[in-house]
Amino acid sequence: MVPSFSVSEFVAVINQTLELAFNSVNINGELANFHVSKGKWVYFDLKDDEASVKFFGTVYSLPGPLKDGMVVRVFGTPRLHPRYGFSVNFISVSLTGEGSLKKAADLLEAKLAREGLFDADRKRPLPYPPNCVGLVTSGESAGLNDFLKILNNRWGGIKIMLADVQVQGESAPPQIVEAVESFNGMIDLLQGGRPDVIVVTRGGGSAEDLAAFNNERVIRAIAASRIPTLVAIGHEIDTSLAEMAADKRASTPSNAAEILVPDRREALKTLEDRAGLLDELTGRRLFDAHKGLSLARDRLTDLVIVRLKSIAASLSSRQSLLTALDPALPIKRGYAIVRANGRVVRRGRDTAKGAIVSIEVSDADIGAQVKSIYAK
Amino acid sequence: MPSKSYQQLETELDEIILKLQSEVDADAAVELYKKGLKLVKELRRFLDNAENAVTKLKADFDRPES
Repeated sequence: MVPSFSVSEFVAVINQTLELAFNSVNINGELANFHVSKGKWVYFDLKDDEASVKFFGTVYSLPGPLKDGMVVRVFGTPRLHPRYGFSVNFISVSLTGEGSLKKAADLLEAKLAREGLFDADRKRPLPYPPNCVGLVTSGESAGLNDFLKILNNRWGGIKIMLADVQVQGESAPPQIVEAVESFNGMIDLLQGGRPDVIVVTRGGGSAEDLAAFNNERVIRAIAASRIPTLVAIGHEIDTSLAEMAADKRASTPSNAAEILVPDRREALKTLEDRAGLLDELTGRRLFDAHKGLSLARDRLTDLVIVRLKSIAASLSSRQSLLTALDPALPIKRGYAIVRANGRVVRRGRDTAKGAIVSIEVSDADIGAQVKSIYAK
Repeated sequence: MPSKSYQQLETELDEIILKLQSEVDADAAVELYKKGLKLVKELRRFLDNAENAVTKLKADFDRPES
């Protein structure tokens, strides 16, 4: 017997059948007629050489900007809409194929560049060396081993907080975002309690392996990090957008370690130079002080000598004066001193006619009697 | 009180060298020299012995995408 339905019944029956048979499906194909309505609703077709299927969903389920021609894998639930017919309600869209990944990255790059996320003036210097590193990578990876090996060889005393995350696959982007946000959310109660730099790294891989680092949420989380960021994705051909959004990029996990810290051998050499400078400067300062002391001593000696000479000269001149004033000198030149009763006769009245006087000459005292006195 | 970082110790040494390059009296120079030597010793010890410590965050990052 052929079943018979009303239209609504038919839609309900078909949806029940689809739900039982294909509750969710993955469909691979090329994007066509991609458009976004009111900034939220997304419509597109997936096609191959022979067929085309309609899809419907929201922008929140997209990995980033998409464009017709990209090859994608869509996860969703097929439904028959009571008014608009058959479509697949998509839950997630993944890019497949290097061409699509590249195109998606190019589109996203243009969009984020317009927002200024890659601007050079946003780049902050990294602490050098850092005290505490927030490391976002896979705990099992060779990249982690490379990073730690080089870091330990070059420097020490750093606290490394490892956020062990998936670095590829669908779960990688939300885990990386959560790790970056967790580090930013830490409160620095004690010095070194919160990373002063975040390093996001992984080793090389195919374009598909590295897709997480071109994921819009990851890029935005890195760009929004209040803690300076270093992103090192080990690949050589293209730079991932996450690296472009970081404050600093490195080519490999090892290179990240090299950029992050100085080499202890070089630091030791610099330290020895500084120790030498310390010796030299102090030695010079003490030499200067010693030299200053010698100069002061010489100056003091000079002053004493000058003073002594001055005293000697003064003594000599007094001696000359004393010599000049010696009363014996006039007597030697022929003058005589007359005394009466032992007192020097300076005027006529100091003696009297007939008085006995003594006359001192250079080599004798002569006794005499005054015969007459005439006033002058 | 957390111990000083290499960078902080290095900055202190640089400041001492800068002071020694300016006019300081001999007493101050000797004091600065003693402090400088102490810093050099500490910095050398850091370069010779300091090791990095890795701690793994306990947060579970392996959550399904919301």
